[in-house]
Amino acid sequence: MSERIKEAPLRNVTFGTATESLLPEAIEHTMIESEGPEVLVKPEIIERRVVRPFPTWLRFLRSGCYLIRYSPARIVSTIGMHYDGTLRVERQETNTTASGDLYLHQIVTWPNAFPILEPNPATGIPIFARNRYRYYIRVTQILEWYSLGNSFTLGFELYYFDMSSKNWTNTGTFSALMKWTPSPPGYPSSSDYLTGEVKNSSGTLVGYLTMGWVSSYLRRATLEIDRVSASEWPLNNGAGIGWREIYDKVGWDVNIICSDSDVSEPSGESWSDAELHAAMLSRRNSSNLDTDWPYHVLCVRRIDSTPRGIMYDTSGTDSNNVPREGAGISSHWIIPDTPQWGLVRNMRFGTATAPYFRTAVHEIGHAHLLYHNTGDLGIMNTTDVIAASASPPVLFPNNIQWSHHPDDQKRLRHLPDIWVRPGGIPWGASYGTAPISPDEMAHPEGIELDVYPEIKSVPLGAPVRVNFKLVNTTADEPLPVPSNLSMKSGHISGKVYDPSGTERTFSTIIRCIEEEAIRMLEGGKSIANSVTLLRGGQGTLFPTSGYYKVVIDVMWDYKGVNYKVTGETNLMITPLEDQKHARAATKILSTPDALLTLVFGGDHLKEGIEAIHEGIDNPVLRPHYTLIEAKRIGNRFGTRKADLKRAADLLDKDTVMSPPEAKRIAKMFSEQKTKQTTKEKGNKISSILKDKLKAVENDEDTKKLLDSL
Amino acid sequence: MATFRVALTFYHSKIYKNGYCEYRLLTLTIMSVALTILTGMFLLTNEEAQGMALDSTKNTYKILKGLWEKITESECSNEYPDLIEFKEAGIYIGSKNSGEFTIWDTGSYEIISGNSIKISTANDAEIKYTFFVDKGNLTFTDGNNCKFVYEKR
Repeated sequence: MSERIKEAPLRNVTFGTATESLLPEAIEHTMIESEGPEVLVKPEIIERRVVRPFPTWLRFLRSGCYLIRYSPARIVSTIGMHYDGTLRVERQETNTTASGDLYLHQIVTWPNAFPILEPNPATGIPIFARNRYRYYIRVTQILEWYSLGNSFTLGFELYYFDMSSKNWTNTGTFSALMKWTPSPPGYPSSSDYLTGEVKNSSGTLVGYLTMGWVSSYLRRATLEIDRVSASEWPLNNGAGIGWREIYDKVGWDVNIICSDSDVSEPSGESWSDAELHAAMLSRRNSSNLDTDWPYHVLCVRRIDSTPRGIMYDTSGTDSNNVPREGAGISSHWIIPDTPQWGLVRNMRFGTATAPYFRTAVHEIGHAHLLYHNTGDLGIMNTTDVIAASASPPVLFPNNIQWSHHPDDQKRLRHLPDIWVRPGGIPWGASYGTAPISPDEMAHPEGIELDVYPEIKSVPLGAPVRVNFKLVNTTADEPLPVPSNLSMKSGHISGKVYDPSGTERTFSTIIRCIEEEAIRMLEGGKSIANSVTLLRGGQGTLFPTSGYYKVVIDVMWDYKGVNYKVTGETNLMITPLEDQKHARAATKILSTPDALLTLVFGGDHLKEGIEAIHEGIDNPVLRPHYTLIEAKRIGNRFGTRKADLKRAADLLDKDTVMSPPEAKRIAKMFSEQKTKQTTKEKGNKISSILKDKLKAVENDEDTKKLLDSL
Repeated sequence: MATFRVALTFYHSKIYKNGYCEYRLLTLTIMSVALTILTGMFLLTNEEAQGMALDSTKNTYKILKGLWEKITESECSNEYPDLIEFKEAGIYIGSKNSGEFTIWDTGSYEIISGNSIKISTANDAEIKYTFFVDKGNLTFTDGNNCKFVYEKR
């Protein structure tokens, strides 16, 4: 063991093959011999029994990992097929977030085939084979605090995962009344075991669920580190923070194994990605990704494709077609001798303990299928950005934040197993494709959200304008609300339910990354804005005629707590009136760039502009699109000047616009007043806009704006 | 170097005294002087060239700095961001309008020469691309010969 390692106390680090646990609590190792293909993994740390000082009639749901079993009602009495899995319960003060995964447990009847063993709760967090993965449990309702009785309602959605297409399908909303019952033998805590009947949204019994607490951690994994003799072990930051401390924050029980220190260099000091991958395959101790979550770090002198580190196990260099198993870091990169690099400038990377260790943690983050995150100076931001962000007197690397960004922490805790585990979903999948349990949001007392459509009946193919107003219903108590309610602020999102009940979501497509500003809204006052809806994450939001429900969520953070207020409204999408209307509506609804033109404007999205023009040329859709075109041509783009004359000509009393749109157009005309607009046109625009705004409470600035036209 | 050549010439002039050798000496002398002058010119030109290249690279950083929007729509360019901002200190940030994964999400960029740039990718590999800027358009070509264009916003 090197001197450097001795200086920093290490927890739960293994050298060679012996495992030592240096955790402060009393622990007990349990060795389980493997039998058959479903091998249970090595010793699991189990907790002492906890004696609770609370009365037995007051129950709370213990945080940690639960071993769960779901048995569908229609087959439970026959061939015994069921699902095993885990439910992860995380509690942060008064907020509880939970998620889970289900793996198929098929009863094997084929001659000579190995049976699948039931997971052993005594060994802690179970690991299941990847090819048995079936569902993600997105928990929407759970016990937040204490229950006065012996039960609580667990609400969840089940997302089926298609292994071949890598797509997720929401199979429905379910609930289960979970009751505490004594556990069967083997569970570490007999009082943290619950059973319940699962019912669908119609109230029909569909299955049975059991859940028993097995660990205070949420997930577990193994990290093996190998190195060439000249490279250092990346074990900690030199100031007491190592792998264990980083992963404890996200509820992962990670076993660190420092294995080979004599890896030979295949072709000199610099390694190709393929050589790194080959060395991992030949040197690693464990390759069974179905009984463990083994990650691998290889420390070498230099890497061909990067100066510091790389998660090489993506597509092209993945010779075994198993993604995200390992990463490489280089110890002999010389940090540039420039001020940006602060205290470690001109050092050999392996001797710059903190950034060297950070790079290893960062690359394993990519192996968890985490992408770069510039939201803070945490683990998944890049070293360059962190170094460039340092400002005296704090120099790099002292400005490194030794934790994952809160969004990444949530991902590590609650994204599906198949996302974060090695050998799961391949590199390049987008976060938006995976389901994840919602954070529990607090309701802001005294704040309500009024939502109403600009017009109640909208023709098919037209954008739907929905207004909303955040109201402080108290008499005189100022309350904190977001100061900016535009879509770009990121506070606004929502759902649209079509006549068949299908849900489609929408949120901002661009985000202004600024300090979130909160303002105090006085009692009895309100702030308003609107959204113009056309397309969302699943495509067209209003694909057919009929009765729709629109739900708007306004979310914001105030002093570390997430608040959410929701409002909803209804409207009618009217059917196609004739062939020309049908042609125009089809063109618009099948052109994704129509939304981008609506949002960005400009002249570069030819297809989007073409679609908007089809709308303008159709008498049914024209009133809904003229404002969009007026806004586009009334602003300059590149070498094209603003054409206020044409913009003014587009507007008339039939033009549909929300009050915020009217204010923005008024501002556009006022700011770009030129000889293009005559006094007559100015009066016409002013009259139209005043008419649109008369029903809305206007501030002094808006009144002055209208007068200036 | 120049001094050595002059010394060599002087040394030879001392040894050979007959006319033939003197002719050869004269030639040698002229060639040495010419070589010295040419060496000096090369060194000077190279320094100037390096200086010019440095200025040109600095200029290219200035031209690149800012927000660019992709105007190419092609399957091969789909993995590249819709918006990319080149910032100070060789840092960039890219994003897709749909929030999807992009190979250029954030990291570093370094201009290698007038038409070659190294950009770090989503898994931290650093890859070279050819590029050129022309009338507000920035065109990249990747290793698979995929060409895509950005327009300055």
